[in-house]
Amino acid sequence: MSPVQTFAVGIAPTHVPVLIALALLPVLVLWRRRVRTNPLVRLHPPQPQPQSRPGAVRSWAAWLLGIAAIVHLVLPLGHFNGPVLTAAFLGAGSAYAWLAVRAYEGRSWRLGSALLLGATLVAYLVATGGGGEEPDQVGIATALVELAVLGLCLVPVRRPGRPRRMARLLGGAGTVGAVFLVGAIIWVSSFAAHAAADVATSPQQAIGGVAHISDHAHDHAHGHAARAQAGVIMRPARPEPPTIEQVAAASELAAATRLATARYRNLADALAAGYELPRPGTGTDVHLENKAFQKDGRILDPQRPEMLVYAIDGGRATLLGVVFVMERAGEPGPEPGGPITRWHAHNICLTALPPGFGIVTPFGSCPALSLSVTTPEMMHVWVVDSPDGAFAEGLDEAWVRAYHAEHGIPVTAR
Amino acid sequence: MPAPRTQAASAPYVSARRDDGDAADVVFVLCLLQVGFLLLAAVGEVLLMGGQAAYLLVPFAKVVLLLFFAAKAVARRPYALIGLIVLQCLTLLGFGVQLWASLLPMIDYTVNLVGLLTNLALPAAVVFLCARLLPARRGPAHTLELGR
Repeated sequence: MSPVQTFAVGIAPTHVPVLIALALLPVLVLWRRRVRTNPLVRLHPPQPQPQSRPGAVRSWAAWLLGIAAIVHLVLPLGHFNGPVLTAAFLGAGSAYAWLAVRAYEGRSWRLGSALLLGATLVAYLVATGGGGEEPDQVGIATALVELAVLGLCLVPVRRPGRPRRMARLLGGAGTVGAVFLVGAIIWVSSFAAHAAADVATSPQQAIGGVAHISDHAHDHAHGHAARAQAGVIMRPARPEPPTIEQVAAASELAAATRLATARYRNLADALAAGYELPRPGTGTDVHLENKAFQKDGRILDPQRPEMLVYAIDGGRATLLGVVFVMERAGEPGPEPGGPITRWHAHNICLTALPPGFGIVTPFGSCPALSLSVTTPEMMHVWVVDSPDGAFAEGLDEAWVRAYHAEHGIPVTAR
Repeated sequence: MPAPRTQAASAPYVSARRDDGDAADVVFVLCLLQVGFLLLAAVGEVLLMGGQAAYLLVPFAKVVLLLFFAAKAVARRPYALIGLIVLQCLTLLGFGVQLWASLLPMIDYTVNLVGLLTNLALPAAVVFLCARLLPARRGPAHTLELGR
């Protein structure tokens, strides 16, 4: 995907009006200033100059509250989910606008803002955590703006001769805690939404999806686009269910992969074929890479999968599936099964000290001294009869353990 | 003729309230946000790397530096303002390196709204505010109070 496509995927269609409104904000401000200062286009009589201008904290708070107001007032345009929610958005937006004006004019704004910010942040987390809404870039950015104002509310300003150390310490700790908590909940919610998208990803389940195209779970699964872009990057989902031909192609790919990889049931055979065991080399989803296959110019070839996935534990190994990987990052993989065979990429943090990797947070951040990179697209095809289906992003760990205990092959045997 | 603006600019410029706060207070809060981002990323990495606490060392060091400089910046210490500018410039440099690295065939960089805000806009805002506070430190006493 190109950077523009990736950027666009992160924005939920229901939030596009918000983004447009925010993009227009600087234009409106410039226009307003021009009108105020240019006598040729002045619409109102000159106003007396204010005797004072707000300090930086009030100014920032007013702007950020104003942005939060615009977001909430515009949300119902793309987000009409009934009169109650619409009224809630409009009410919150109006309250934010009122508080922004109060902050700008120097009247008290902190307590009211803190309460409103807390309420809207909790409401957003409940909506995303409860599966009512998938976290997207506009939602997370709005939460970020709200967290910034919350920080301005919680941390008292320092006055000469009155440092208020304890209040500042508590306010600071509260701000950091709120950022951490909100980020963690959004992160967990985005992973939960991704896991839920594994529903109806096997051809058999998709056949059911074709027969019942209004099925909510199916729609939810294929509508998922990992818009938080915190660890997983996906292309836009196709709205239509898979066709009969696509279901057949997906089944064919799964069968061909299962047949072709039967020769790797024994771990020693995979190692002999050039697959490399990572360290520590044990676990329920050990990925073995074949570097030669990653640069052979073959895409989605069941005979030459770029990675094999094993469960390795207790001196036994079980082949679970393969991972097909594109050669170049940013190139879209072919989708013979349409929405069943969806590819995904990972955005990860490569850390230098000590060498390791993490996952990019919903706030787009990585640990210190690390680089955020996005891998080439990849797709799992499982060769075991798991309840999650052949094209699930991952398998249930408990199920894998039970399967491995029953079917594991001693590692030394050939 | 933008006369009104000229008059406003030349007028004495006083803050209406004592608890208005200035740019240093905003910098402090922005740094707190960055501390939250760092801690979240560090805990995520530690969980992914099997709970090895060694992965907390560098993020913890950066958190301590950020908090120290941010606290001292509120007290108008020039070295703290410079330290914050250096830290934020390193973050911006890292963003540039990521973009450059994405030219390699095997890796890409995901450009998204939140990432641009936290990796570009926020550090740039801190650099801007700190840079504006630096000359204010050397200016007359009344500009010190109002330095924004």
